[in-house]
Amino acid sequence: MEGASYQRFPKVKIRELKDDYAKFELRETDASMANALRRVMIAEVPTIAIDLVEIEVNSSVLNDEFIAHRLGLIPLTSERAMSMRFSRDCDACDGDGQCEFCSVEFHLRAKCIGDQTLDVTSKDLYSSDHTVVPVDFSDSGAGYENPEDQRGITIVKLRKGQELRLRAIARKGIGKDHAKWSPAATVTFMYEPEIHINEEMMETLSLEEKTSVVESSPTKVFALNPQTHQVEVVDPEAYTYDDEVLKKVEAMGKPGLIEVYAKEDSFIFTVESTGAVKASQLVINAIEVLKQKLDAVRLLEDTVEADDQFGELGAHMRGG
Amino acid sequence: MSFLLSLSCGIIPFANHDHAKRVLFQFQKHYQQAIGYSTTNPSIRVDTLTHNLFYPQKPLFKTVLSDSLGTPKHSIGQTSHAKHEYYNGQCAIVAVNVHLGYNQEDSLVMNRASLERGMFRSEHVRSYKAEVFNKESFGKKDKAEDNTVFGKIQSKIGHVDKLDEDGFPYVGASLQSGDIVIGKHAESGSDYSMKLKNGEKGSVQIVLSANDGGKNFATVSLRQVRSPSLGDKFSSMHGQKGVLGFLESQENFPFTIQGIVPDVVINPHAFPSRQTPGQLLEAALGKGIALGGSLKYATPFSTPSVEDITNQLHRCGFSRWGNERVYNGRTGEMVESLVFMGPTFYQKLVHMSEDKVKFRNIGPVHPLTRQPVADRKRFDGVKVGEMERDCIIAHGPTANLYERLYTLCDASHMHVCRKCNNMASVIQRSVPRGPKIRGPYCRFCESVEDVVKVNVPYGAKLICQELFSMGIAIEFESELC
Ligand SMILES: [Zn+2]
Ligand SMILES: [Zn+2]
Repeated sequence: MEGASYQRFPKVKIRELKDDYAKFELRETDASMANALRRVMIAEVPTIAIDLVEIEVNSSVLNDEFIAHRLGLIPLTSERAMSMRFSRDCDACDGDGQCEFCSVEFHLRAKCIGDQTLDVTSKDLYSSDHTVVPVDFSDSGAGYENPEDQRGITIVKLRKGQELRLRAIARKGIGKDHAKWSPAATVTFMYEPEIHINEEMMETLSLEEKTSVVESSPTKVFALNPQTHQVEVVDPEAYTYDDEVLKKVEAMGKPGLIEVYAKEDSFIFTVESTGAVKASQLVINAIEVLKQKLDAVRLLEDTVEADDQFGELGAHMRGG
Repeated sequence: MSFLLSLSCGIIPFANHDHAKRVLFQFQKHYQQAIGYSTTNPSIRVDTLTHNLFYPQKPLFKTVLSDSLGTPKHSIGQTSHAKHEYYNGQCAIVAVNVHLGYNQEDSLVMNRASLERGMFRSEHVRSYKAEVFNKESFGKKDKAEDNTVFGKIQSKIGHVDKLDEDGFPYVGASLQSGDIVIGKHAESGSDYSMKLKNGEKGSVQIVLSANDGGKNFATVSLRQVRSPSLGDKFSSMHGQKGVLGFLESQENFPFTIQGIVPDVVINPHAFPSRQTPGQLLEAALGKGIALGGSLKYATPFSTPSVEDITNQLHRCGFSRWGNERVYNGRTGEMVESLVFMGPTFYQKLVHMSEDKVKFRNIGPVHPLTRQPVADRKRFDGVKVGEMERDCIIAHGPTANLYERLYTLCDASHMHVCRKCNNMASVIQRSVPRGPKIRGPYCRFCESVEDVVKVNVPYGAKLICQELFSMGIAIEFESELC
């Protein structure tokens, strides 16, 4: 292929890794790459979620649609999702939920007999496949003190005599189709900030003025060294680009006292997972999905169909 | 001071900062149109029409009046309960920003992911009631033919597939418009069934029947679940109403450093002329409260000062004025300006686009004018009135104007005699040495020569005939084409 190559070799440094939380640095790449990764994590990494509910008995206070909606939002462990088939692409079945390639069946039976209100939770869902079960938060160290809180996600509460019986089918899907399939609770990144303090100008300030500069930032970015009485940058990443310090410095009549630059090619990612897949796996899956998408473009590029599909653009893509 | 205000007005946060007109607007109109939750017997009530919000929330802020709502603390066994009032809205993260031009003129953009997670979802229950005379209690003195009973018969007016033998649909049946809700017929066989009107549908929630005072009553209620869709109306607590203009995906919204994405994006132009800074204060205070701030009250006339609110935000690690640095969700670049964001209490109002859509191709016309009827229940058309006509003329699409006002309205034709320029009506006349023929004929010239056919709207033809009947003849000059 002709033309300039924009290939870069990004570096990743992992800062912190928990089951449902990951923080890492992504360096030597562009905002477009970082953002593509973020978007794929939110909208295109597949998971499994309940998609079809057949209600046999429902005498609870919530209506059928309400319960079906709540069931759909329960995160299910989806390590298998990447290798599963989409129900619409599956030719081994007709989408009746009995197919091992594309669906998992769940059953729920609950009836309240006692006087105490019965909480029907995600723990009452029985899966036909032990690899796809409702996410269990009790061992993730979320710090529940009350044992009752460990009973999973509440679906509905039943009083004496009320009953809920249903069959549900979970399918593979992506967040683009419905938010219930999104594995990401939070995916965000920030540009790494570079903070410069003009020491010469800073020396002209009184101690009081220095304190006010330090305190003008809502987050703890700066600190006053108690010995040297110098303003120091303690945590540049705490800076949220809120411009509060810059405005303060300006108001003091000392523009240029503190300057902040955003490094255009290094990003600090924060990824929180819903529990459907581990946060680390989420990132890896996202890269995999992104690769598949690029492969699809490359395949098109090599074929003549590209010309049909994209017209002049197809020729252009091949470097014509 | 806030006790001077009514219940609905006293729970508006920072009402004293808003223009009086807006506050009146809010608690007179929007507050009673907002969808909340029926507190008593929600599962068995059969109102003609009710709306229930799936997930009603308590506003983040409090007012002295809102503290007085709900039931006070009382103990059941060991645990003590304080039952809060159900509010008729939800706390949405609202950004004041423009969004690709989809929130112009009081429209707003919503996050589709939030809606899919249940925000502003509501159920709508409509009840249908019918009654018949009870045969047993009246004895046999009634004429047997006139006795109506509930029951299923093959109806000519609608589908009865979903009905059981007793004439009622089974619970859970999904009825469409045109289906029969309650089957009712006379013993003679004539049909008195109740049919779903155009646009009404839902699944059966409750079927009740009872008898009282010689009458048998029956009620069938249909439930419909709705997620917000384009055109639905929303309002904040400050008389800032707007319709939904676009549903955007989560990943396309601007996001903050913490990954927060707005649920609702409103246009900054909604503020200057409306004079409702109360909403901005609500958002700023709400943000502080959500972060665990201690300042919780927004009681009208004793609201916390702007300084207190900004200091609270500053202590929580946020920009004083509620602004946040965001990244463009599409490109990942940092947005040059800061965006004001904060949780604001929003209400879904009962005006929903699904109840208001109008469409028709061929439908009933008025028998006199032959123009489409304007009856809401009978597939009414939308009128292209004089103003609309002027607008089309101004823009110049004459073919469109011709189509709206003629072809698709009351296209008709009449006959004109080119010799005397009078209207020639279609009559039956006898011809010497032949059968009677029917056709246009000029009675002034007593001939059919030079009679031509012209296309006119039926309305125009009608008025000519009406004038003619009063003795006013209109002459038509015509040109052949
Ligand atoms: Zn299959
Ligand atoms: Zn004539």
